[in-house]
Amino acid sequence: MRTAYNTAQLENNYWQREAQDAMKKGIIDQPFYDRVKELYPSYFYSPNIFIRIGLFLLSTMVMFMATGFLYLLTGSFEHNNYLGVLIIMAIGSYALLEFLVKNNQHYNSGVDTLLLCAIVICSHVVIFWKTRSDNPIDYLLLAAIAFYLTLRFTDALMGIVAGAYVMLAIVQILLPLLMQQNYIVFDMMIIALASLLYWGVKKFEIRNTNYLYNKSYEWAGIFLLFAMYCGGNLLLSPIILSPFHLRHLKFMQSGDSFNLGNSWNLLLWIWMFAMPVVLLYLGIKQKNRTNFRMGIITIVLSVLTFKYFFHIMQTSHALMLFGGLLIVLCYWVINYLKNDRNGLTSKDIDKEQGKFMNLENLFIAEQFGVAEPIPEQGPTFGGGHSDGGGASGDI
Amino acid sequence: MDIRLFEKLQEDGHLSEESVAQVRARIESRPFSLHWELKTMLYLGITLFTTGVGMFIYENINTIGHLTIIILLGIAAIAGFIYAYKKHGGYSTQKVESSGIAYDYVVLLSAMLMVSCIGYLQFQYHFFGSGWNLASIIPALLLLVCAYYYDHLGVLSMAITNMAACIGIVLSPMHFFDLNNLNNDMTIVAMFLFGLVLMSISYLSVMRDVKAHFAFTYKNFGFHLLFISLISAMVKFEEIYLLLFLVFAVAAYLQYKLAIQERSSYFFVFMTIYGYIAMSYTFLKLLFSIVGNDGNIGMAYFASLFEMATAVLAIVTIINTLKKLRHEDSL
Repeated sequence: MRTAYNTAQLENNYWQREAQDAMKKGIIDQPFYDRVKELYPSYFYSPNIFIRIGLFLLSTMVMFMATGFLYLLTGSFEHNNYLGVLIIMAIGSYALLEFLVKNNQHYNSGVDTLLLCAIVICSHVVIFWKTRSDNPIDYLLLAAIAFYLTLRFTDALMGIVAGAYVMLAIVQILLPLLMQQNYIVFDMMIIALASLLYWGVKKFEIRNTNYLYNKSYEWAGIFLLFAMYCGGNLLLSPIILSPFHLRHLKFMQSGDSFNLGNSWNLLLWIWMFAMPVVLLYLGIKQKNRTNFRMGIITIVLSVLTFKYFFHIMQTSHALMLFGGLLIVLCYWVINYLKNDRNGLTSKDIDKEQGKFMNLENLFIAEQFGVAEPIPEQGPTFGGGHSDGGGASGDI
Repeated sequence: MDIRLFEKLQEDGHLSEESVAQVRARIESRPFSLHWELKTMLYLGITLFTTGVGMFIYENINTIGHLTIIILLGIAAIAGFIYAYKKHGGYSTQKVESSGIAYDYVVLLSAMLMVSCIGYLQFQYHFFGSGWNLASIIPALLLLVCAYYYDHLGVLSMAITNMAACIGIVLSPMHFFDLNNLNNDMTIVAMFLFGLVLMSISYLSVMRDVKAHFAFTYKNFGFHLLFISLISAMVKFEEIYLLLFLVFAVAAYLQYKLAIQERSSYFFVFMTIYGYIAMSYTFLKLLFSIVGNDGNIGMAYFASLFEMATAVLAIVTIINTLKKLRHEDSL
């Protein structure tokens, strides 16, 4: 399929980004980077993250106002004709997107991201407003729309959305298994199908020679890895199934998860802890940051799931124990890897510290620095009449 | 980083085979950095541990005793500061390079423990008397001293948020747009003045070249406080909203010029968004006060169109101005 962009420009854009990455990592210097920009020119409008956020927010404002204006103009409030307005908005967004790409070369500018989101959201509401059912065909239709947008605009976010709709369609198809309480078959099928899709995405990624869809492949892969993990997580899968009103069925299975004597349940627990370890191992072995980070995230989720089902100690003790262990472990690893060992280091060799430093401080202010203001009438301390930190009944 | 970039350059005749081989060897010999992952896990560890300690103290307050807890918190904070003091190269008005990730987090943890210790002391024993202001300004000042001595931006952010708390403002990225905060006359005035003070400190830091790298942190908090308080004031003090808009316009113009001078896309974009909000509000309020808005559907049409047009104008302004500044630096 033809993309909305000039293919040569897209490729040049990719080379420029790779050269910028190489410069940040100290592989090439500024003059080399400038030469790459000269050799492979790209005229896309692709601003930095702050501008992107600003443009996204303002475009959202325009979109809301345009929808409101259209409702007023068509008298939809009086005639309950919401669908017509949404269809016009979806088609209008698509037309505007094509126009902006063709004439203004918008590429991940924030405005195009908003328009893509608007197309999917309007389509979703239109399809589900009409049918009000959980038909897998509806999800596949939406997946097809998102997939088309991925191909046409080489957009990674739409790749994830398409993957999510495919997974939702699969869940819909497999729901009878859940109704019949074949939980394990259901979980195994989810894991197997997510793995199959992941394998397919990776195959395409390797064969990919024109670099147009690199980001889409990468993010679709991350999404499917997460879907594989969630399929075997006894806490996350019921939460994800909540919109289908089947949470209680999955929790019935979770209730049985204490019974580790059940070999099928045991298999899921093994999957839940083995997958993060494998991801961490592969991340380090292949120097693959995505796998390594996914390994960290999933291992934290596995520990939380374990804590949810097995109350082996009080929450405060568990927090102190795991927090303390994490601090000691990190301290040890930081010191151990001060000098490079086995190709690993704890030093910031990517020279990206400046880029994240200020964001990091905002995070600190949020996490640790939020102090409650002084009340105007002065403080009124004390809660309850007994000792025990205000633990009496009249607090 | 894709090695195919260098292969492509070779294919196109811009790089020799030897150069590509050298680059490949360099990429392959590069160690795999776990810097940011370890930092994130350390954050997580500190958050879990301090939350756990807090819960543990709450659950066992009768058994442990208040004084024991205060002493333990104090000892832990002092121990942390002594460790950091030994590792630290001494005070300088310039940026002092950190001694490592562990050092940064020890300073951060000690600062948190110090604040908890002083807060506990006041809560339990009214150490600083019944005036709560003194008890909240002291940790803020101590944090400020620590931030300057140990050259720690994270502790500086904590100091600023604590100082804001002294004058009744909840200051955190997640609370910036909390409208409940903005429903109090005094809070709005305090936010405005505190924002001005922070902006001035930021300016002076650069002018006097004293910890100039702290300037962004001061300015970031000050900028948002100043403009959010001005917009809130326009809504809250309806009688003088035109005068307040004038103050907003002057501040916005100065900030706009500064953002262009500093080539700061971050401040420019947020300035445009705040400007859009203030202008839309003022114009529509003025219009409704002249024409009236009793069931006038024409005005609703006009308001929607006006908001749309000004938002599009704001988008075009951002794109064109930053293009002129050649600030599309993501490429």
